[in-house]
Amino acid sequence: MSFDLSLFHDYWPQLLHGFELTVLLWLAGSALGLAIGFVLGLVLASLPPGRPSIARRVITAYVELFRGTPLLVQLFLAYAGGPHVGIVLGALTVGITGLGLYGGAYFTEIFRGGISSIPAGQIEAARSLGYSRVQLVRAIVLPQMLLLSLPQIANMLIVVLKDTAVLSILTIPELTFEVTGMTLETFAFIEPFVALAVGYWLLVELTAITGRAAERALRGRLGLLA
Amino acid sequence: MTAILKASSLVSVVGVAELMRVSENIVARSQQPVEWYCLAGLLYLAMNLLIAGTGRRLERGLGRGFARVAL
Repeated sequence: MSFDLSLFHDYWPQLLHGFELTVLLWLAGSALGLAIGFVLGLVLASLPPGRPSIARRVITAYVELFRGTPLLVQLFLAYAGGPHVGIVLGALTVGITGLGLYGGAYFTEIFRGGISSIPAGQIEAARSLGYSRVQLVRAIVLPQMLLLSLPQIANMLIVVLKDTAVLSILTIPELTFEVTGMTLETFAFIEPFVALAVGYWLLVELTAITGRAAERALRGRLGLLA
Repeated sequence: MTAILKASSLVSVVGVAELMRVSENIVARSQQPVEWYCLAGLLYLAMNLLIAGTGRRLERGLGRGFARVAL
């Protein structure tokens, strides 16, 4: 089996365009997911433990529903099922909100877990020193929560990136969609899919490196040793 | 574990007749995507709730004796 690079001569503008769209979907979906997760995670952590409440029930139901079903099912349901109940959404809208809601469920748990990893003694100490709730969250909770969650945030960003490939089934012309089209037109499979893997791998490595650098920088700012 | 269970739905793309593939086939015949994709979703959800519930029970059991506090 030879590796024919000349195949890419005609296809690289298309692949580049797909790559750009993949990055756009990834950033938009991640931003939405991070925003949802940050708010819901903070709300969850503010509720008294062990006491049932409506807010906790609603957030838990959201997390379990979106974390408990495959993204593929959610997308099919919204895109193919939506019009049957009178909701017609464009592929891009379904794709970005789908990714955002799906990622948001995971980010909620990541942020909640980050906060609950802060020793309770610190929060009690801050309170007995007269910290207001806002001061407590800004000075004690958020910096540590961010540091504790960073590895998982980077991990989830990578998951969201790879899940953008699932959006190709909605006929969104992102990288996987363009590569699949290329294989159908050229009957070459090895070259396009290797290019696809390299494209995702570059972005994943970039994310992993940035995540580690952010962790180091945050540690430095908080005055912690690496 | 829940991630691997859900990733199994992607296997439908290469033609393996798992839950997702079967659902797609039924939808293609019946033209009722809402009902059948909801059913598929519920089946995945049921399996995942079982896994998540076990995880939470373990977390509670192993975390006994650690203080928990709200913000």
